[in-house]
Amino acid sequence: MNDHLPAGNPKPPEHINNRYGNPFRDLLLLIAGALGIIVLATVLLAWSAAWIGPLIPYEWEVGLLQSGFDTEPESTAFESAELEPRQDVTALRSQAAIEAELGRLLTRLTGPDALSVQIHYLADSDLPNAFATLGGHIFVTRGLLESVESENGLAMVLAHEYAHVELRHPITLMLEQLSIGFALTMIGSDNLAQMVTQNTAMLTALSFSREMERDADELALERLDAHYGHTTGADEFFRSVSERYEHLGADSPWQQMFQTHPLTSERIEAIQSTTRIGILTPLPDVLVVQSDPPAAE
Amino acid sequence: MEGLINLIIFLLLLTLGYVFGRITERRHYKSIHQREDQLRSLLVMPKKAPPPQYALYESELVMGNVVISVDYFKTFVAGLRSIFGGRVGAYESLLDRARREAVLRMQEQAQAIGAEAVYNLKFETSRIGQNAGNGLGSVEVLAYGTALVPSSAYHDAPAV
Repeated sequence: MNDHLPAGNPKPPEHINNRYGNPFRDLLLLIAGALGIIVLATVLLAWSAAWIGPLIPYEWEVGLLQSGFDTEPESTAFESAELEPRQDVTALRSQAAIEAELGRLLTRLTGPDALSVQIHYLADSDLPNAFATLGGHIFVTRGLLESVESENGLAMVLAHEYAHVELRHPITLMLEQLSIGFALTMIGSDNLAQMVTQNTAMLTALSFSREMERDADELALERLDAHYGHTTGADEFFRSVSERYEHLGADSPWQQMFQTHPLTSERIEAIQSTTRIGILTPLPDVLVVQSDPPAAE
Repeated sequence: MEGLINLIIFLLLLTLGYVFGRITERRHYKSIHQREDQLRSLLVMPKKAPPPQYALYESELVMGNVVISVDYFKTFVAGLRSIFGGRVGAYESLLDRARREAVLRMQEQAQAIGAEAVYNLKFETSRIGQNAGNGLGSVEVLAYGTALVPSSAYHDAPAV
């Protein structure tokens, strides 16, 4: 047995068990690495959305929003109809007639075996606009009907919005936004992530990319050409819009709303470059809307 | 807006954790080194059986116990580490301090009862507040051993 005892306890060597030199550098390195991974994952996810989106069955997309979204415009209109029966029943009737007529026009363009979409007419909106959202909903404002002169102009807008649905642009955008939301969740900002994902349905209407718009324009022009035998009047809506809001400049609601859309002039040029001349078809009577809102309210 | 407030709170907690963590760590190591020097002659041995020269000594259990809490900064850094793996330096220094502090407290107790050496040093650790989910937890480090007290000194020593 070794009886020799040390004179004292040994000095533990530092920086073997506590080699924690510069915590700040550690933190910065880790944050940089984590952000890199998150950005990479987001970019990959968002990028793959463009080809995953079209693979998702259209029925799923429709089912996704069935419960909440599509009944909304009708049900609110119905409720107000109960409050003021006389005036709003006629408004409701004309709304249904317009939606049905728009649907018929779209069916003529797309053929019988097209995807089933729901067209909503926004009678209260003066802003000339149309948009497609998740689940095959196409919205058309009264302002749009006022701003087109022929059926061809309207058909172009409808075909364009339908092309968005057919090319699965809304669900692609949703996937992109979900991946951004996912990245934000990973960073730990749940509130921000919630904001992005909750507003997805709304954002979809406004932020189609230039490529998406161009593709939708192209497909719509093909449809117009196939149906009417020419594409005259396809730029009607865009021209009327840019004329109407020209004097307002960048502050116009139109500009603000369509900041993410390709420049209207660019699209007019693209359409005009492929235009084949023909005779315009007049608008169906149901769809001719007076410029002044009816004095129902 | 809410996200911004959360971000500010997060950054504040991170800064507070960093500043206070650094200050306490520096101060603590200074005190550890000082006290280790003072108690250097009070031997702490990992050996189970004391050598023959302690044959007539009384033995008594001595313990040093430390509970430490993790600060927000360390938790965050360690959380990031869980993505990449590798040494969690933030926790290493914390636990190093806890172990050495526990030994020092044990030595202080041994000194108070007049012990000359502590044999059979052992460590125990346990987590406190492990049900707090992702919240900050604490960890306990217990050092204990057999204090060897000269018989005469043992009877004169004050009760601890």
